[in-house]
Amino acid sequence: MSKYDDKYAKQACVLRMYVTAPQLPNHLELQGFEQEQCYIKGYLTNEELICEQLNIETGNQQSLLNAALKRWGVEVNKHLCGDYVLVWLNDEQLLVTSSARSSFTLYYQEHNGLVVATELSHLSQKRETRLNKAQLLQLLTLGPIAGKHTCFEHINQLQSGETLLWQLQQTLKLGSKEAFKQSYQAKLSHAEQLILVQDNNFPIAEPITPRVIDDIDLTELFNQLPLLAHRLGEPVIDIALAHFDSLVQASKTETLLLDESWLSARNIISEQCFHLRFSRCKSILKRPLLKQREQLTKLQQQLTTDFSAEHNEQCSVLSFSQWLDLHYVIPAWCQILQRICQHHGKTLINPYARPEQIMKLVRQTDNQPKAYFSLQQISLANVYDAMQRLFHLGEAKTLKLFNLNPAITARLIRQQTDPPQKVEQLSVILLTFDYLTRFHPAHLN
Amino acid sequence: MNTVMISARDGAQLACHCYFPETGSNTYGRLLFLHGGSFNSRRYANIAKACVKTGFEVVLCDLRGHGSSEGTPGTCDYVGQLEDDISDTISWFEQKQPLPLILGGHSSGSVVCLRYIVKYGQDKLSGCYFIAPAISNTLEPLRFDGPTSKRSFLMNYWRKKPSFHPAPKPTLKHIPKMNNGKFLLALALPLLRHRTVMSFPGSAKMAALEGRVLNYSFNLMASVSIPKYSKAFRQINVPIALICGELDEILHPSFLTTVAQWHLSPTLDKEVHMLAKLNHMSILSGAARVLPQWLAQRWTKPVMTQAQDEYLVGQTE
Repeated sequence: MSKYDDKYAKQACVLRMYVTAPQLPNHLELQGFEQEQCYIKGYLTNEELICEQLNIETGNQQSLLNAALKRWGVEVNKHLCGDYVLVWLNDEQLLVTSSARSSFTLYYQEHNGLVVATELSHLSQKRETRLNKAQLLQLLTLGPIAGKHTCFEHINQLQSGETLLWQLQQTLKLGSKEAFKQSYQAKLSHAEQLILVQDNNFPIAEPITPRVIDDIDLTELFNQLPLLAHRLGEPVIDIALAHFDSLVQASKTETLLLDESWLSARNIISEQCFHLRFSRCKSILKRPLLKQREQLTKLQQQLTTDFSAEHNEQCSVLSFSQWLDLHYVIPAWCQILQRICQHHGKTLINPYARPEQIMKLVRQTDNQPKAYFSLQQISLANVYDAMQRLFHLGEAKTLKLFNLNPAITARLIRQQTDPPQKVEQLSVILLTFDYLTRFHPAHLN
Repeated sequence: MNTVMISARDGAQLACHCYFPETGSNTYGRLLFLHGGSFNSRRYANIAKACVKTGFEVVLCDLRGHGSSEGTPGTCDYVGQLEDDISDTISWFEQKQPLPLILGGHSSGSVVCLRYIVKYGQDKLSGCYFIAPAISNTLEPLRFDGPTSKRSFLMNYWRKKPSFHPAPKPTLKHIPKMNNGKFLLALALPLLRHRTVMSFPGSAKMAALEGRVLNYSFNLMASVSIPKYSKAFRQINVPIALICGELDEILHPSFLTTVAQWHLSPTLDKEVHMLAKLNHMSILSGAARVLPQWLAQRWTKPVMTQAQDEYLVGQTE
């Protein structure tokens, strides 16, 4: 039995951690959660070193975390290396933090009382949710980009290297909407994030099957999309995720080692494409989504400005697209892969977080992932035909946002060779979005 | 087996063949079964006998104009009359003795069930089952491409059909033929909607002996069709079983799995059974094994072991 087995058994207890603040602290109704206790989801890679620094015995992770928090407080993630999210609750404060390049996710909603959950679906399916149209547009045009916002309004995500602290307002009546107030927020810089992952002490894991798309059952893969969307609680952005999901499900070990081929499957945003992508799918967007264009432009400008500032500061040799890939695209992709593993009760170990390895991946931007589906696939399980069918059978909410008339969609499909996976991704997002609007427990408003 | 005649809302007498569990044993529910197109209840006695053994009262209904039911063979008064008949039948039995009702059928009988669910809802139902549902209005569920597939694809999707897989000759012998000219004429002129637009294969002599109806009018054909099947399936909120043979001549082998994954709610109690080596008609012997087991698992305790030649494609989450 490896020394990590026991640790993962503990993590499984907090896998579905769900904190509702309005009941705190008098009515502690937390699932697998106690006060004055620190919960970690993920793993540490410098545990022994920290034990030495804090002068405590190795093996007791709870003592280590409590001691680390006592000593470093809100800066704890600058000292604890690994891949994790950490939650700490006491009478007065709730602290959440994540490692420098955390693939583990934590979602929170401050609207109508504070709620923190490790799964987006816990929040989006159990509470009244509204679709964040700007985020949907961003997902359609740029793909997943690591950031604060999710596809739902008021549901935010803890970013990699970010620390948030909520202070309980003692003067306010418990259970009121303002019971918790955010009092501290900090995020590690991009440079710090890369420095802090320089550790090689990964847990023992079995490599996951590499991504090979020549010999897979596409119908099975197509049929896996709805359940994956339901589990994730948001539209699926690439069919590769359903492929990954099927392999994770089939694997027998609980700790899986990420293969490079799965990181190469991500949606790489090339410099030329960055400003053209919007126009590619513009034809199918209706007014409510087109209205969000301003926010998308703002995001693009913000990213460009950040890049320029960092570029000058560090004399970086990275191009804009490589920089974007390094700090936004790869982290987002790793988080989705980790979430898929978590749904199967498994942990994904990412050995590509170290700078020399991640830079190698970033420089492979010419290798665009291949499309899975061809037009020859049977109509029943062909994403292109299925996307066009939405015009006849899609939900009213889908048709309110997307113009899927046969003429426009047929033209999009005819252009699918440039780049080949773009229309496939678009179809997958539309199909899973339509599925969620039909069966999402909270009904997407 | 007892045959009862039930008065429909227009006065037509509908025949229902009832099979009851042995006297003194428990009755867990009532199974209403609708036969497939052109046939009548006679062919489905094996399913009824198998389900009765599990403790269910089984009612095999003859659709109007079929078997012992009254009505003009091969037609009905208006599109949707069949689901009205089902509603009348359900009410009659409910008045007699309320029992959990499980509604289903074979081939186009399944489609009539689906139409009933759309029109009348599921308040009176405890479960439903579909054996090889013949959904043929749209292209995607079909195993083989018909002569008009390319045109339909072009009209729906505004691009050329990238592949064409016609049915092999032996299969064509079992597929009903549609007269497109007569269909369009009936569509335009309501007066012609009682005339034959679709013919089932088979000799007239044999059909007379078996009590089959080989010709369907526009009204009857439209009453056993459902154009927007996905919207109908997504409404279902009672336990559902989908059963089909891998060699079905009409449905694509992946169709029911796709329905279960995409069109049924992810939280619904659903089962898909794809049975090996069975086609559209021989599925009935397979269903006689699978259906009692599905019923027993939900409404009684398990009574049978899983058959060897089947595999479970999907199941309740």
